[in-house]
This record gives sequence, structure tokens and C-alpha cells, in this order.
Amino acid sequence: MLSFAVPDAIQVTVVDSFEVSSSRDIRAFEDRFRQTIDLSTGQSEFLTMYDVFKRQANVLNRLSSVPDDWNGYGSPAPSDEAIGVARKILNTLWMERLIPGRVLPSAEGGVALVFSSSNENRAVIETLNSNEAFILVYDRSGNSRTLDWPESPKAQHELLLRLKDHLKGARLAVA
Amino acid sequence: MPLRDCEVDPSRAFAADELLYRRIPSTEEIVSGEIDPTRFNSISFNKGIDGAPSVLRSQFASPMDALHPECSGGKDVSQQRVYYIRVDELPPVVISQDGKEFSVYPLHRPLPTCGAHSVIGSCMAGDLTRTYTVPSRTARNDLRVKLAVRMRPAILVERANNQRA
Repeated sequence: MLSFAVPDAIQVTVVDSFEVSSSRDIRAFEDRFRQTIDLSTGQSEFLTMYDVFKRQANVLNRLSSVPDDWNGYGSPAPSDEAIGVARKILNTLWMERLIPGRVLPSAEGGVALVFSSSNENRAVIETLNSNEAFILVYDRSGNSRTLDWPESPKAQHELLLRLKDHLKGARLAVA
Repeated sequence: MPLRDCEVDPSRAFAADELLYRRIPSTEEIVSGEIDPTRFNSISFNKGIDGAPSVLRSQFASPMDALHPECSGGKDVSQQRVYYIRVDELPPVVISQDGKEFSVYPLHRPLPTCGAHSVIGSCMAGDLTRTYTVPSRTARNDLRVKLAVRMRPAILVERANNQRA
């Protein structure tokens, strides 16, 4: 059976060995081929991200079994309500294709969704037992800004766009 | 073995270069040596200063004391790592979004089996009586961020102490 695998380094070259096609035909074929390759690569990234999302969702579910004083510093276990709010936010993050690197109990009592980046910017989303929910954006110099998690989906979308920009290096945290 | 409360002098002032130790579960670091602000509680769980973030002061403790059951309520925390911050690296003031200023300071609060136990307290800036005041959310988060980015692994301190001994 014939099979085809997309090479790692995609370098599309179309050779018209018989030199009978017009250059316009060749370009059209090349464009269609590139689109096919892009779709294939995109699906791979999608599946990888979905696997990470599922893993983090499982970690979040397991936080319900974290005991009080889990860190030896007296921090309370995440409440069912805090986990529930975190689950809704995690689903919203999935819709925006923005997945936290880690899901942890927060030392303040609640859930922490932790984001890292390849630059100096960092962020966490916390849903606390005290019913607070916010994004804390900061950088490695100690600048920070707290942004309340909004109710409306439109405001959530806009906030997450800002979070994406921050993680790409935009200066959202202030001194 | 950590010193007990009867073996320490809480009236001794904190030196600017004194170290404050705190243990952090090793699995919770973002990347090697880096910790995130959600590792620090900054609110009082019992409405008193004893619920503020705990640390051990280096005048009466070694880094390893932070991993001893006598200083962890009997829990096995031997797999955790110890981080430190110098006293003069604590942010003297954190400011909330509404402009309120809160002073931050270390306070020695010995426990029976952990004499070096201290907390990072806070009060309204300018309050000479240092009445414990829980900072607002934005100021608390600012404090947690500054602690997280300024803390460093204590393993080198421990090695240096062992070499001197």
C-alpha cells in the first residue's frame, strides 16, 4: 500500500518536468498543496493542545482530593466552588486556545492556573475559596497587575487577548 | 535539630542581611529555580498575624530546619526545597490600586518546637503600633510577586555553612 508522510521540514517544490504546464497552473497547484500541508500541520498542533487541555482538566479534577494544610503552611484545600469556577475558566481558555502550563492548588486556598513563556512575562489565574477570581500578570522584575475575571464572555475574550499579548512579551504588568 | 522557643531571643532585631527561609514543593517550580506567586499565602486564615506567610530567620535556623518535622507541624516535607530572601529584599511598602500603602516587615513569632519561626507581617504605612492589617487584593498579589521573583534556592547557603562547620 502506498503511503505518504508529511516531511518535518516542509519545502514545497513543484517541478514541471515536461514543461507543458503554464506557470499559472503550476502556481495554483503549489498553492493548493501548501494549503493541504498547512491543514495537516494545524491538525497536529490542535491534537497536541487538546491532549494538554485534557491532562490539565484531569489534574483539576484531582484537586478535589487535596487535603487541608497540603503544604504544611496551613493552606486550606481548594473548595468545590473554586474548582468549579476554575473548570469554567479552563473551558474558556480552551476556546481561546490558551492552555495553562500547570494546574495547582493555591497557597491562598483555591486553584491556580499557571502560565509561563519564553520571555520574562508570566501569569497566573486564581480562583479562590473566597470567591475571588482574577488574572495576575507579572514579570521577572517584580512588576505586576491584577485583573478581575469578568462575567461577560465578550470581556473574557478581550481579557484573554491581552493575556496572550502579555505572554508574547507585551508590557502589561506595570511598576 | 531546630532550636526550641526557649532557646531563642525574639527581641533580637532582624539584620538587613539576615536570611528568611521558606520551603517550596520542588514540583511546583515553573522552571529550574523559579517559583510562582501562588506558592505564598498572604492572607491571615485566622484573622491574626500568625496566619501571615511563615519563614524561618537565619539567626536561629539553618536552611535544613525548614524541612524538619518540628517546623512543619509534623508533616514529612523532606522532599521539598528551601528558598530564601534577604530581609532587605522584602518590599518595604506595597501599594493597592486605590492608593493605600502597606508596610511589610518580618516579625519573630517562635513556636514551641520551632524557635526561629517568623512571619512576614503587614500594617498600614506609618502605623507605629504596627497593627496587623491584611492588605487589599492588589497589594497582596504585588507582595506575592515580589517574594516569588526575589527568592532563591538555599542549597548554596547550606553548602557554605557545612564547609564552615
